[in-house]
Amino acid sequence: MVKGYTSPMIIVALFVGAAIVLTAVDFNLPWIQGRTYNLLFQEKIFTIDNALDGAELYLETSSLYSVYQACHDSLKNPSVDPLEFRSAVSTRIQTHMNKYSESQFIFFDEHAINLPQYTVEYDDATKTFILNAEKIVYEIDDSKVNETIHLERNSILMVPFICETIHTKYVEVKQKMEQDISPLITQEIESGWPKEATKDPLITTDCDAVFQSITGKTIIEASNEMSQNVKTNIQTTLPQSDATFEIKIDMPDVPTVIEGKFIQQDSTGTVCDFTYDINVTLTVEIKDKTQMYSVYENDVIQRINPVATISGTIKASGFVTNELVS
Amino acid sequence: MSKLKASDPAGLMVLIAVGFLIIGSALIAEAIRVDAIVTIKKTLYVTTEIDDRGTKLTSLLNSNYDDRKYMEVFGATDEVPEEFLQLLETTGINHQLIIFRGSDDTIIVGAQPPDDSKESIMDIPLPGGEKGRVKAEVRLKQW
Repeated sequence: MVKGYTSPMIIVALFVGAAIVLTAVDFNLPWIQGRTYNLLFQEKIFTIDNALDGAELYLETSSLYSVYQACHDSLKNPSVDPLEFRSAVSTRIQTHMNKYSESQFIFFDEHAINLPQYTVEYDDATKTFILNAEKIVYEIDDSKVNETIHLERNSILMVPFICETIHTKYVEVKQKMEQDISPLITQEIESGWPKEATKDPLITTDCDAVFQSITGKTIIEASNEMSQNVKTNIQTTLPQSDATFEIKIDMPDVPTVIEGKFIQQDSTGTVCDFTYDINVTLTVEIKDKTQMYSVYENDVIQRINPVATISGTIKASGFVTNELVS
Repeated sequence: MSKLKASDPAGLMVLIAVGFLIIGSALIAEAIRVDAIVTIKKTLYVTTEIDDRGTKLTSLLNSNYDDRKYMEVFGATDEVPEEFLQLLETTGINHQLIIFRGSDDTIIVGAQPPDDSKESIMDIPLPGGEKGRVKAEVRLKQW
């Protein structure tokens, strides 16, 4: 027994000591359990910060996929007006991006981050789409550390307008088709072939014979020659492949129909009218060789070059009527 | 001089006062950071362990390959570039990545992980607004 202290006094002292320790634990004092809590707290912040890094990477990659898919979809039968095309791409980027961010980003199964919704605007100076978001907020209440961790990132994303140049080329090719192909057909029809009220000394009612007498070719031979001439001229007139774009022209057939109509006959010869119908059906595929992107098409993920396709039929009938049917 | 006894109210008050003195000293010591050296050592330990779980996976997927980040590469193609395998080696941590892009579309990258590896899972985007996952089998560095 310690001198001067009685047994009851020591027992009470032990109770008081235990009360002090428990109080210290409850107050989270650093020398008792506070250090452990402090480390847990730092660990949480560190992991959550990593989760936000992961979320940023997720959103950055999502924005790229969004612009890829928006361009891919918008290049199918696009408007020739650059502003309308850009607006269509912008709307699609926003739709795709918000599809990615409508559900939470899961990091290590234990951290779920709410992702923001985006609005998209175009910046002319930098030729980029700017995706403006609400803030990413991550918040966690932890009973062990008795604290709330609140971390957030400002997430503005910028993606380049990667399909602008191919759209410019598309407009150039389409305008060439509309403006230059019809005159080529008309020029072919009018270049030395028999026309209305053509008279030949041959006395017959057979206009095919009249045609052959004038041109030295049967109507079938002439049709084939005209088809070939039109085809060749179109291929050389449309823009050609270069270092940036591969342009493929698919023109399987150019049917030409020449019809001779008997008008009259006398002792000096025979008069026939000759009419012509040429239909050019062609598909032009423009491929941007300098870029590749990953898109979802026909239920599979594909990595492809941006492609714009123009399909149309150019008709020329008689001597005057021309039209492009897309 | 009279003896103080625990049974005496005065003795009890002295003991309680001593207790509060100890608590007060602890609070003051924390406030002026007399334990700074100990804190740094322990923080380093925790940082390294968490780094192995989170930072490495994020930075691996954030690394560039052919003008693309690996998150984009693995989300859209079956490519497993040699550079990535080397990157796994240089991390100094045993990783195996399994990329899920659908029920029957899975890519496995890296060597078979050891039995004591831990699993980490992270979402990745896929083209067309879809979502996939990367599962990383990670063996933590011994400390």
